[in-house]
Amino acid sequence: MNRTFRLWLLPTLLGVVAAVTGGCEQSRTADDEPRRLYTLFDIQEALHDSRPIPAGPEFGAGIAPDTIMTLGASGDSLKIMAAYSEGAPAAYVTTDLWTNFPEVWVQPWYVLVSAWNEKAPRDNKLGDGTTPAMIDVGPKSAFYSPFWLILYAVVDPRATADTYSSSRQLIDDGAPLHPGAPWFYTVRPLSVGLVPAKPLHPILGVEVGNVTLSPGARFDGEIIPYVNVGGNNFRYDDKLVVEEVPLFIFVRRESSGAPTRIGAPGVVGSSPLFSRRPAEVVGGQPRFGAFTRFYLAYLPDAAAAFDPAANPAAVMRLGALATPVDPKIYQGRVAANKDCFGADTFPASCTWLDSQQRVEDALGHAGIERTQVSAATPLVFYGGKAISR
Amino acid sequence: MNRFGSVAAFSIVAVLASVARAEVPADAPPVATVDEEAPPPLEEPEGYSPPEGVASTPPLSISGYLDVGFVKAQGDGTSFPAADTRLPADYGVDTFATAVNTRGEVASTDSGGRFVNGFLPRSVDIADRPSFLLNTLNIDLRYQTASSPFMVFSRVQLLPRHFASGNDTRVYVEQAFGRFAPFATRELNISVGKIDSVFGIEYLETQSNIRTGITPSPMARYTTGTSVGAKFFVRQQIAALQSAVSLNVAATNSAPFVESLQPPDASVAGSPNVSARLGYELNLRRFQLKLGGSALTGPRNDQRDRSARQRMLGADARINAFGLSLAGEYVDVKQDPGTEEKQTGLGTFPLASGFLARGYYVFGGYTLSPGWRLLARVTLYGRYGHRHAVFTGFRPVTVASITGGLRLDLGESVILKGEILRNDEIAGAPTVKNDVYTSSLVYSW
Repeated sequence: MNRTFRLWLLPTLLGVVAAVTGGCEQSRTADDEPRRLYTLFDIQEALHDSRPIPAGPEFGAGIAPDTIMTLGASGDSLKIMAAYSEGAPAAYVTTDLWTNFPEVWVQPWYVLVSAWNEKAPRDNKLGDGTTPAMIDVGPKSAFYSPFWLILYAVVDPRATADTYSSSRQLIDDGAPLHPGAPWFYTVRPLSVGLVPAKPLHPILGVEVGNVTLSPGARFDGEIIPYVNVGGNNFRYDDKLVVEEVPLFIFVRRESSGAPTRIGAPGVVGSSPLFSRRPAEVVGGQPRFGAFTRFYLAYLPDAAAAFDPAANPAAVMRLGALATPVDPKIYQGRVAANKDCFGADTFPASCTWLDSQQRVEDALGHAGIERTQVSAATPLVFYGGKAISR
Repeated sequence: MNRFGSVAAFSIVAVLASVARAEVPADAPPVATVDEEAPPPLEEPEGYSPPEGVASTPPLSISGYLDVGFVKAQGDGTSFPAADTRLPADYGVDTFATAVNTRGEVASTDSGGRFVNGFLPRSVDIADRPSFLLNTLNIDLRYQTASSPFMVFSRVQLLPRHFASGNDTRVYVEQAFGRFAPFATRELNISVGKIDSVFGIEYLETQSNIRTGITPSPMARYTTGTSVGAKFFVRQQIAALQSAVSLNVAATNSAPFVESLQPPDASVAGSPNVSARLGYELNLRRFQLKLGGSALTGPRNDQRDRSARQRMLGADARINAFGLSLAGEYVDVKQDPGTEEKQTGLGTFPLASGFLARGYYVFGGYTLSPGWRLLARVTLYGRYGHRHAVFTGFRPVTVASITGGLRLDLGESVILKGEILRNDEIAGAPTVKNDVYTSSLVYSW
């Protein structure tokens, strides 16, 4: 081999081999979670594998999937999570998690109707209502979202369930598209359901509402079952970006500085953090809570969650009120001044942290830490009662 | 290293070793031509188009071309249907369909306010309005002395455009490299700098003065971008078979995607992409056949996380006989999903989805050579392109394009082309009016 050529060949070879092997470390910041969406399919897989869902440094080892879903012999079940919102007991289900996502968008959900009735748009669903709705963005897409804008597509009454399989056909056929309400549906594995079929509030033991299982929507030739958690329960802007509200998770700061969850129900916010916008509730249905970002709410030493078993005198005072109050109404509710649990004027003497504004006022910017996790957490219980559809 | 990477590395090493064994001394006589009577074999460009310098030419040469077009796109100049509300808007259609010039710039990428995620070409922003365009003012500088094995070449392009925000002339360094050819008697060289792709064949005609037609194929977005890195080229003539084999290997910042999709000027991932093409050519007196296979592996250069990989495979063929030119290319692209925001030549976008695309084109052209002073050649050409692509979790999009055109070579330095580009949405993407009528007048110097 010619000497000059050999001198050039060697580094070229080395460069090529080094390039193919690409043996350097990743350069993403260590604290940044991969930008990833976890749907019910992923959460169920993590549950069965007994592995946590990575959620960034604020969550240490991650989020345990059994806080979202219960393992069952004949199928898994969504878990109802207790919470407080706007000063009253609430509850929600968690269906999807996003790590390190800046935004989540509304996608179109096509409902085929044979005629348009503005006052009762679902009256003329194709095939007497048996034709599944249609979506074009599936759960494997990072742009999948359980936040949908219903579009009623008026098609030929002679069409069958198999006539249309994609939005392309609807648009190509010039089917009139009428926007309906924003709605929360999330696709699920067939083996994920609700046990019991009418789930209960985990503290109050009463039925929650607004959550049902549906047989399926059509996506790319397949029928995918989904969970229906009601409409008009989120807001979005003109760019179809879903509005995020905070979900406060109460923690204490360890001596190392790391947060430790106290296990109390969280607080579901009603507007963007520190926006001070009044809560919007229409017909008992809150237009917030379905899309939240987890915020760690660092409690001072003086704060604690109310435990009826540990405070029998407070329980007696609740029972002695003019209108007796079930102590479960306060179970797990966090007060900024735990001394109030023993006061004669309980519960009025407590500074409860049971609404967004109260948490923000009590803890301020310094006591609230944004996490990389946002979640689909539609409310199924609000204002102390089940949400009806 | 994944299996594909292992195979690629082994193949590259094996071929290079074979080439090294076949090396001849620098003072050996020139390699005999395949057929002394035949015209020289069709030159396989090695990264730039100007002809080789000769001893009588000055070391520094300046050349270039000017491409002026008049174009009209149907609809609103995009492929976005008004009734389609899926997001991102650029995942459900072919945003590159309304190409109006050789650069692949489209008439418009205005999504009507709908969110897009960076799967976009550059735009000339004329929507459906007929418009003259100064597509490219291209200036090539080349420096090489007769006795030196080194050559330096740069290709700088001025791209005057008008957007709603005002006039803007972008200066783009298309190529800039130094080339070392250690042997006067061998086709072997190493180039370092911003270099042409080595993948497939369409990169050979990304310039207006070279391309037979005007608009690029539906797969050009993946194979024709230039990138910064190093390239090794060798061609070995096999006189007994009137044939030659060639090998192009490159290590570059990015895959040869167009720069709007993947930034070529810096390594975002911190590890290069390796690409190679192995070619065979048969050079007979009136018939030339060229075949090639290409491969690429490396990290997505729109991600800092180099565990998000991309790979490409391709095959190409060309036949030239009796004035007829036929060419075809198949390309298969796979990208892993990214784990962070996506950095493209157009900016930063929220997510990097997993992506698959496969497609092909076939091209046919027939050239008549009247030999008149003002009409040297007349070429009638057509191309069919087909592309199937899917972003993970989205409905796949299948499109086709049919291109027909006429090219007149008015002497040796002026080319006039006219072309109709018909776009068909076959599946996934709604049907839209997005055909293009385009023309191009190219002056070379």
